[in-house]
Amino acid sequence: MNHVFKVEDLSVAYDRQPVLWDIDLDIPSGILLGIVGPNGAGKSTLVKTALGLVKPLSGDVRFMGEPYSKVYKKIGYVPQKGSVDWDFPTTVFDVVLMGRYGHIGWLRRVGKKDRQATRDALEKVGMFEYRNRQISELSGGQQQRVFLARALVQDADIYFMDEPFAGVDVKTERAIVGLLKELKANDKTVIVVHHDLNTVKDYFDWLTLLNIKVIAHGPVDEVYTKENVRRTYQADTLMSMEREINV
Amino acid sequence: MNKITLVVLSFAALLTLAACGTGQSNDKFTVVTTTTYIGDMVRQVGGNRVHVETLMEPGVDPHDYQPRQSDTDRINDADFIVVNGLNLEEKMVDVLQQVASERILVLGDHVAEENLLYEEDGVIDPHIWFDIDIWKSLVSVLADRLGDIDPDNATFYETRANEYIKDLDMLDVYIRNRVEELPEEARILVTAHDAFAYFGNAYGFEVHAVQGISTESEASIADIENLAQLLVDKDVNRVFWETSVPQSTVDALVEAAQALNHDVSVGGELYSDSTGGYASGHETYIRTYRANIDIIIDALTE
Amino acid sequence: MFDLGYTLQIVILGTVFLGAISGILGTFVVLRNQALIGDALSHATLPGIMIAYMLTGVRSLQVLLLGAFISALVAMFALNTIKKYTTIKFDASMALILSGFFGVGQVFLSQIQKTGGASQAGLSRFILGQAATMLRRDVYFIVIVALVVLLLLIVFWKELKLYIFDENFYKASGLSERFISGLLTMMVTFIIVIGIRLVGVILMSALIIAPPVAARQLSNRFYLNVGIAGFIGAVSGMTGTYLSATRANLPTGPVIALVLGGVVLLALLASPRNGIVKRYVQIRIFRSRIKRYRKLIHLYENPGEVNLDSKEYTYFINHDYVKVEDGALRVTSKGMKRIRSIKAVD
Repeated sequence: MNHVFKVEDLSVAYDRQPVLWDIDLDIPSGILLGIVGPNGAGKSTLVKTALGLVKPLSGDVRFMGEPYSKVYKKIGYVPQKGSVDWDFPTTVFDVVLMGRYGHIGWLRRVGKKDRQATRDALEKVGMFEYRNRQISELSGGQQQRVFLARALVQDADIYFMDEPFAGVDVKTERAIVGLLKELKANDKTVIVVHHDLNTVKDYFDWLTLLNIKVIAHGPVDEVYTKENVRRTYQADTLMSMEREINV
Repeated sequence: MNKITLVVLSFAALLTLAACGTGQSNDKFTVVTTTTYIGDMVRQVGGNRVHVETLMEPGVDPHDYQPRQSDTDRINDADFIVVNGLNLEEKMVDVLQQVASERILVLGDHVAEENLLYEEDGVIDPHIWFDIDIWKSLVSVLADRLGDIDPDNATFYETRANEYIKDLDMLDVYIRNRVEELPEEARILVTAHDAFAYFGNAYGFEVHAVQGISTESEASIADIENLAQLLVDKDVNRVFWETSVPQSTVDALVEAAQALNHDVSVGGELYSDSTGGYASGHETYIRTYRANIDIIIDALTE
Repeated sequence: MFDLGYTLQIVILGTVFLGAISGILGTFVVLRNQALIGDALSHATLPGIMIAYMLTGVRSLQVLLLGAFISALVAMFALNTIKKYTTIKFDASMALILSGFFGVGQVFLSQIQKTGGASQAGLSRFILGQAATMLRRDVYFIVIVALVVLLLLIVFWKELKLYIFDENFYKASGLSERFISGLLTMMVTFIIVIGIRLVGVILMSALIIAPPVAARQLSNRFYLNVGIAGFIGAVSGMTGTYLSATRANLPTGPVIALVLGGVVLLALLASPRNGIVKRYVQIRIFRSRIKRYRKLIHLYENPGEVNLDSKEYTYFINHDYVKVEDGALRVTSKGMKRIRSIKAVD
């Protein structure tokens, strides 16, 4: 199997508090992967480290054998909805268009192709008629769709999505899942930070159970066991790990 | 004599000298003054019997001078304090008011009412040092006060004061001679702030300035434009910087007048609210005044 | 229109360009939620001015402004260092830098005054600025810096916009953070440095913060925010200067700040977004509707238990809000619509 995303010996700490410890992950192409774990398990940090937004203590992150700086055009990102100020004076269309900026590059202007890609993406997430709306007027679900559309115009091979289902209505959640499956069908790799155990089996074909360390990683049928879930969410897993770290 | 003895001896000599130095200054009594002009006056009258400390250094704007704790300490430690007091030391008023009246000489209080000049809005102009007659009378007042405090040296102070007044008379003659070089209609002095009214009054000069008697208020656009118009109307071709006011104040005036197609340039830099520094060679009142009149007359007769 | 004198023209030219570029650049800073940066950096220029004077002993504006520039950069570096290595909150560290640097500047100023030197006059003018004595070359300097900053903003428009809206996405898009944040700091510092000569280190931040705050009330589009802020800055600069010139002895910088304050107040009152006037009117409309349709709501919620007086009865019947059905009063579908609409006043 072709590995598009590989993490080796990755450790991240804020101050002296370990957030991720000794992470090894091999992610083949064309899968829909869920990263699941309790609060503070380091799920978002894992994504941010992969995208170079957080500096790791140690370890290595590679995409198709290359560092992030070489392949960023092939990677799409949906940050957490709450990470931006939705009162920013801009429109839906402009936010989605921002997904093209990395491709356009410095000193160049937005072109016709970029606008067309933006329109297509808006159409895809069902937000086309909202394109001229001020973003502060959007509902939580609509905000999420906008971010998704912005990732779509990045025209990537690998997508990282940080809690795309957080604070969205049922209809939007279903629409997003449909989109994720469509991406997978088109041979894209999609990595989603998720926190609802109940939907794991329906949404994903691969699963990473994370709690500072990787508890289990693999096809969802193999990984999603009672025992693994118990270990992930058990408090003393954390403690035993701290003991290990301190030694 | 070997080298070590030599070193030891010279150290001993140094120590003795140092001891003498401090001993001597303890014998003198310490007079603290605010501006350099007053400092010079006390030095001229007190000679080696007084130790003069001037709070404001040359080039310091007395209107703007903010006293420090060390200044308050020096005022409190001083045997005697001499100040202008006509609201020249605007920001020191609080500090100076707390000094007991027998320890302080406020020169402004000893100027005859009819000799004082006023601004349009009734504020007393504090730049009295440019009137040599006033200055001479104040020298006598100072000598009397020093004599009261230090009766042993009263005649010493009086003699020195009289000699200094003679010097001031000579300065007056020098200035009058130089002013004579100028035709009467050319006797117009334009500067950064209104410090030269007493000078103008004494020697028949018409004086104008960008800012009023205090530099504390901001120069306003209207002031500059009105004055520029005046330069045109009266055909004034030379204006003067002052050491204690930013040059840009006068530069802006020059530009404004040039924009009216008037030929005008800066004639030099005058000492207004302080004497020159030691490096300039104009560190006394007399030298400062001479330097000013030379600059003014040379520039205006060019 | 007006017969403007030379000095007024010069000063207005300077304040208009300064106001415009401060407002334009300020929009980027304020939308990044870093409004205080301008304030901190402008206060931080003071020690640089003083040190530049102490080192060179000359009163040349260029030298002093170079000192101001370096000092602001040092402050920015200190801010970033505090952010990186301590847990002090960013606003607290900004306040720390602001007061700390300003204090050091004051101490140096007082020291310089103490030790004298005939050329130190006017250093204290940097605290409150001195617009009236602006010279032509000062204005040229302002205009050139303003145009350079404007050009940079246009060239890096999309990157700056993305960076201030979503920093993480910006970085993940492979764009250089170091460059863009450096550029932004550099431009803010430039603007402050050209502005302190006019309005002083204390009021400079008003020029950076007030126009964008007012503009935000008036528009929801980014480019319009930038444009309106620039316009407000320019007009306030002009108005403030003109007002200060017509009354002798009114200082220009403070009058400009006052005009800006007035514009912000006006924008807050009259904003079509959520202006105070608009909200007040909405509440009044809501109240009067509740008063008029109270009985209708009662009738809807408790059918049969409400007695209408004849006036109300006629009004509701005539407007088709109620009808008589099986001998009882019922709210029609039009009446229900009316009730629902009461709650949505927009």
